Amino acid sequence: MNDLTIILSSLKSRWLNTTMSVFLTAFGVMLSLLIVQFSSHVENRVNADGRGIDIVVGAKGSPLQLILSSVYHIDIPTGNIPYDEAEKWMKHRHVKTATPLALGDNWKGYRIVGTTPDYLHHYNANLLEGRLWRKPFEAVAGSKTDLKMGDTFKGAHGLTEGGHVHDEEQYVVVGITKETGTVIDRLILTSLDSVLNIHGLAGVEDYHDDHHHGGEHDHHDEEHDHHDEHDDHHHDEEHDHHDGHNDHHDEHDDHGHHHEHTGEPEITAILMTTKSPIANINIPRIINRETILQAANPALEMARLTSMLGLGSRSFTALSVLLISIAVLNIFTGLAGSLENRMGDLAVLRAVGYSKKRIFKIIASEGMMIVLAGTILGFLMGLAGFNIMAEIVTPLGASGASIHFTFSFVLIFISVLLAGFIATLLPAIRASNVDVARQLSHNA
Amino acid sequence: MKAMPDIFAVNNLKKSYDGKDILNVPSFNVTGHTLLLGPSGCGKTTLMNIMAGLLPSSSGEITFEGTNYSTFTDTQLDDLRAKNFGFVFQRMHMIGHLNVMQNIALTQTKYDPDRIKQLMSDLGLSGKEEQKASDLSVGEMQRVAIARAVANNPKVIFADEPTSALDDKNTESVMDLIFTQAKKTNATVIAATHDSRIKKRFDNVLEMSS
Repeated sequence: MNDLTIILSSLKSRWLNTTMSVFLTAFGVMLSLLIVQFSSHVENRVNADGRGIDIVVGAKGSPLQLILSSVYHIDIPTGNIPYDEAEKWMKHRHVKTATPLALGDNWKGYRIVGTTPDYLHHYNANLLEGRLWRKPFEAVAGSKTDLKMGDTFKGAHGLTEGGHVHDEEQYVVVGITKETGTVIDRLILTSLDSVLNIHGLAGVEDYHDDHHHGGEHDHHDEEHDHHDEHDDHHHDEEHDHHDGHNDHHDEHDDHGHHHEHTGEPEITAILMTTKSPIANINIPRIINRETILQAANPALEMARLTSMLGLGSRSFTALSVLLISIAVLNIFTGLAGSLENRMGDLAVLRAVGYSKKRIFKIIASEGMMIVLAGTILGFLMGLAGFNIMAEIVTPLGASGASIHFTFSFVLIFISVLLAGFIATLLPAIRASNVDVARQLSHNA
Repeated sequence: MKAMPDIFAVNNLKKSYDGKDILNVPSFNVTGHTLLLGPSGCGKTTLMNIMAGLLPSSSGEITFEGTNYSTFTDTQLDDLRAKNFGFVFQRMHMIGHLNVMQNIALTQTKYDPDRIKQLMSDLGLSGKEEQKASDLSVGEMQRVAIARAVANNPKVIFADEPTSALDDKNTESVMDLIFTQAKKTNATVIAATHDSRIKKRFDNVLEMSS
């Protein structure tokens, strides 16, 4: 008869203790895995989505909220800012690049972001198929959205599903981006004007035209500088974009579109890179002190956030270590406690020729089977738990949380097995050294 | 023709605990079924345990089929027991969470279910294969213990107080079963007991006193 039969039969005979040990181990492993996954996800998102953004400018409010909503797209924006005020800072001499963002709508939970092609360049996002938008209500969909080329859809107000649908305008998908592993994969990008117009605001092009006609030459010159700056960046698409706006006007005229774009244009945020590290410090200071805008430093805010999360993460880590320790102790007490009643059985095995080594293996294997079953169950629970959390916890889902197998998984696996083995060591040694003659003479 | 060695040869065997001799056997040889007879505390179980390789002696020499195994390592003794010895323990020592088949199979170095089933049939245990040992009656346990002792066709069957708590009828029945199985496998029975009722069944009787 093989030893596995003896081991399984023994575990079955102590099923309550066995089950409890398996579940305690499983919960500990599950918690560890969730912590590792969550930390890894946050780190990946912070690194990938926040890379190369020095300053974010938006409406006053929580700086962290501004960063989370504008860079990571997992919170609601702090509000809107007047475009003309934003534009001053976009053209500041210490600002290297500035990408405006206009948020406010979504399609099936995927945020519709009004922006410029600079946004795509920032994340090195290339098109898998199609082209960039050339006129309002043309959209480029991220690779992880459920949109295909040529699809049409209507935006819904708000940044999560279920808002009022803007029936008056319909977007058409003219491009799909290649997967970038960044937030762009889960966004729907369109022109600024699309978002502004749909909310009854004047498009940026309209706005400038009005001002041009109004004879504000300084502003007109600035506008030229702005265009020159874009030329410097060789954004050919930008020309298309401007052409697109003209098309948009024609289209509006052709169709007798009566949507009133009367409000002054407002955007949600500007993502900036600066020309020098000192500007990273000075520009936010000036903006925060002297304007109605708010400037936040993503690196600083994310450091604060990860520090706060780190505290929580450490608490959960401590909890998981505690759970695994309890599980290991439970395995130890289960084996050691049952050993008292099993010494006679083990003495019989030794008498009929089972070696000390074999007895050691049998007892150690009993403990290790509990640990292994608990670890596997814990991993499955952890994977399922993380996927469920990604479904029901909006920020996780919105940030594209998914399971990534990391070296930490192996570390958890090895650590738990090692802890389990240590727990089985003492009972297994004691069992292998059973006093056979004494047990057989005296044990009932 | 070379003479066959004695099954066991014991020479000046001593066992001491805390400097006190609890066993002192000058010499004797085992050539057939042997009974170690004596009152409680005379050292008969100790002697049997030393002969079975379950307990080391403090001094002296003991051979099995001409091989001195007094100085064997644990592993060598394990191997000796597994291949040559069977045991009927005083309190049966069934492993409660294993079924009858599994309890008997414990002694088989190579699993042979046909042999086990044959033994079970011989001992009136047919139909009890899957029953947990802990659910058996004392009588059934006794028969399973005998089946387990002979399942690996041992050369020697050690029986420690096999009849101590049995009435005359059951004593005869148990000894019949042990000797019948021993005969089938050509095994030598060595029993330690204070029960002189079974004396007549043995070729040699070593009477021991406290």
